[in-house]
Amino acid sequence: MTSILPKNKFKHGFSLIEVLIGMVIMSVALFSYFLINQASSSQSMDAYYEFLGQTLGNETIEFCQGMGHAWAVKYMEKPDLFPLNEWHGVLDRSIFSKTSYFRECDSFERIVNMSKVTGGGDGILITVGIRVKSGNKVRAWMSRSQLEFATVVMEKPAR
Amino acid sequence: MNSRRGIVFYIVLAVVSIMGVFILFYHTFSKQLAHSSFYHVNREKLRNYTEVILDSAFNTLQINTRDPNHDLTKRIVTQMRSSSLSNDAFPLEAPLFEANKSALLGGATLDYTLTGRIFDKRTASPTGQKYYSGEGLATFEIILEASLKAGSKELARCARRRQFDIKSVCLVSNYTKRENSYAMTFPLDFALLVRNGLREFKEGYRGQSFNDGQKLVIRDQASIPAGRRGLVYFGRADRNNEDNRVYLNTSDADAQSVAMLPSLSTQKFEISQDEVLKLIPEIDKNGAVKYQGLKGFFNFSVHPVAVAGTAANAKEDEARQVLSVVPGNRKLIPMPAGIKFEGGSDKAYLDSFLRGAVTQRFLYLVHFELEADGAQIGDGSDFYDIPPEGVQDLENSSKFVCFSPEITFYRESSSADPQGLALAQRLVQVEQRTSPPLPLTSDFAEDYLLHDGQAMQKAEVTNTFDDAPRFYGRDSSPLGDLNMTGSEGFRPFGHYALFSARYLHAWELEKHGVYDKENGILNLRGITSVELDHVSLDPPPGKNFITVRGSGALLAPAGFTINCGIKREDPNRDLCILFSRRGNIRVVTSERIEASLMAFNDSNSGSISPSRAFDVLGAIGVDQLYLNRFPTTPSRVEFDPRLRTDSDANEVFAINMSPWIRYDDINFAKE
Repeated sequence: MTSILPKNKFKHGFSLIEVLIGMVIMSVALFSYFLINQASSSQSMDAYYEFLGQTLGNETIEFCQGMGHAWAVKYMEKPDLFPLNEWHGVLDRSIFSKTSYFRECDSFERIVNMSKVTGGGDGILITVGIRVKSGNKVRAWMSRSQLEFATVVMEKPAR
Repeated sequence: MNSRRGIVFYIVLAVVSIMGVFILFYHTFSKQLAHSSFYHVNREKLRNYTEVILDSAFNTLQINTRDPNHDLTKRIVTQMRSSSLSNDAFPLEAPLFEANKSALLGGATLDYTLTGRIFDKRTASPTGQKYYSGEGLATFEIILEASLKAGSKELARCARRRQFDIKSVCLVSNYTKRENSYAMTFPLDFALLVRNGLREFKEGYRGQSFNDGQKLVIRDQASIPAGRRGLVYFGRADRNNEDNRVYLNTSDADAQSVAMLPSLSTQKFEISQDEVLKLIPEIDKNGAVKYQGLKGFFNFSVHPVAVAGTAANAKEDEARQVLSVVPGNRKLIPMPAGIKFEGGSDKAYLDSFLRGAVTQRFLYLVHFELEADGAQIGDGSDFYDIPPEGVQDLENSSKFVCFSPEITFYRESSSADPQGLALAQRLVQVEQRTSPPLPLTSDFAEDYLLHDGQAMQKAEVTNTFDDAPRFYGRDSSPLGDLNMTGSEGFRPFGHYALFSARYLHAWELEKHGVYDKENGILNLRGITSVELDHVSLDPPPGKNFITVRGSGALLAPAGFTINCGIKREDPNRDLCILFSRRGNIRVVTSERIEASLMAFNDSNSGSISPSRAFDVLGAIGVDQLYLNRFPTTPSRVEFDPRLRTDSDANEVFAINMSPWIRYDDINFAKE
């Protein structure tokens, strides 16, 4: 009978060089993937928070449009729901019940301005600014520092 | 067994590839998400901006179409008139957006085209009655195409359509276009329309209702072009015969009225001695005495039928007294006409606005005189001059005022004055024999038209002014009778579907913004009907008038009370019509009312009931005037020439756009 052990001992399995080269390739690939992933995550989070910010800004615009000119005129004299011309936390002075907002909305603050305008009828120009609160981690994700929204709520003409 | 050398590379490559695919998927997904978010934000911004543009365009439409002369109103009316259901869009403006563009866009640019058009018109009522040209219900569509850009890069693009219901109502229509058809405000053609004029004229003692002292003055229309003067028509007074005409008394207190009296072709008519003796047989004592050279003269003159003071002479006074006797042995001394038409008294002027048979009534006085100076008396063979005392006696005993035996005085009191009646009967025979150019009996003549320059003639005057106006029901079928009632009869404002608002309470006028009581403003746009209440128009604090803003009609079937003046804010733009379908219009002010007042109902009794002399700038239309209820100080009506037109360009339309959006869509272009 012929023994085969001594001869095949070094012919099977992985060589050290093989493993080392594999590890180098793997680490280069993983590092690249990590960078790509980070960029993707950043894009996703930016899109998500921008969408959230846009929703919050539009909410104010739609709300004011829905309430109408007469309300806006009165509101300018006595703003109670949210302050005018000053930054405030969106959920600190939320328009609707706090439970109807995502929790992340608390990361945003808002400024609302109202001014009377004329020209082919009277109206109230409403501008809304939305930004992330200072020191909030969301600021790291958002590419734009502030979102701006504007509309004009028009006076319903007399008959 | 196979060698394992080199397998690590394969494993590493496989793992790296699989991970790479997943990472690539994730990266692509993230990128898409970021893009979606970006486009969503821009689309929302664009949607907001276009919302402002559409709102501004609608507001501009609402504001500008209040003015019937505005280009937008004209364009809408033109498209309403066209037979096409779908019209080309015309440019619109969004001034409020433009004025605040930079503040709204924050550095971005917005290119847009904004247009509007009428389509889907309904130009007949639900029961198939065709509306007047330009009237109807329709849809107004605002079309907007907009593109939001940052520099030269287009961020988002969209097309929007927004539709509103619209009602177009013609307040002043071209009368030449509706000679054979109906328009809702047809009574505006008339400075004065008395629907039951003839019936009212005949009520009580014939003619008294319109001749009981001056109560209403229609102001001079000479400054208005003939084709735009406000007509005057007394309903069904269409023929110049006693049953179908309306007369107005002439009065010595009115120079214009006196100037209209017809002129006489002769003032004296001589009859022979034979006729004299047949007329007055007492002179020759039934043939016992013979005369030579006696002459008889009939003297003719015309006088105003109503005199302010005492009559000029005894004959005129006697004629007036005798002819004033009405059945029941009552006397009805003629009073000045209740209605006066200021301005010229020539036929051309009066022809331009007076319709039907309106005549004047005056005193035609005939008195007989005998001339015996130079006459001789005898027994048949010998004659000698009549002495002066005899001449005077003869002449004095033979002069008399001539009357017809048919007058009421003789019919009522024939036994009281048999000699007078016999004389009148003989007078008729003389008249028949002599064929005189003029009638020989005194009378209150009433068949002469109301204008000067007429020559009195024996034949009855039968011609009238212009043809009587024709009236139409809602379905444009001619009305056989002006008194026809019901929905297919005489019915102004008969197309209810065109009303802006109906079934309101009076207090709802404030709620709907029609009547601002506090500031005294009447916002009119189209036709608003208050079916459920009487409407009072009261003076606002510190003012004695209400301001009218816009063009329209306010309907209050239960009637109106006008407690103050009504003034148009802009006379070239504003138009006010007050119409009552069941009640009356009470006027409790002498301030000027710049509105047309109309009261027509199915009982034929709609009227204006003034407690003070009114001063109206507009038109008056009633079933009956009831002038006896008018104050003694005459009320005045000045016709507004805007109310009658013979051209499309001067028609007045009220456009009413519903504030509610009927349809709205938005289509974003693919990025």
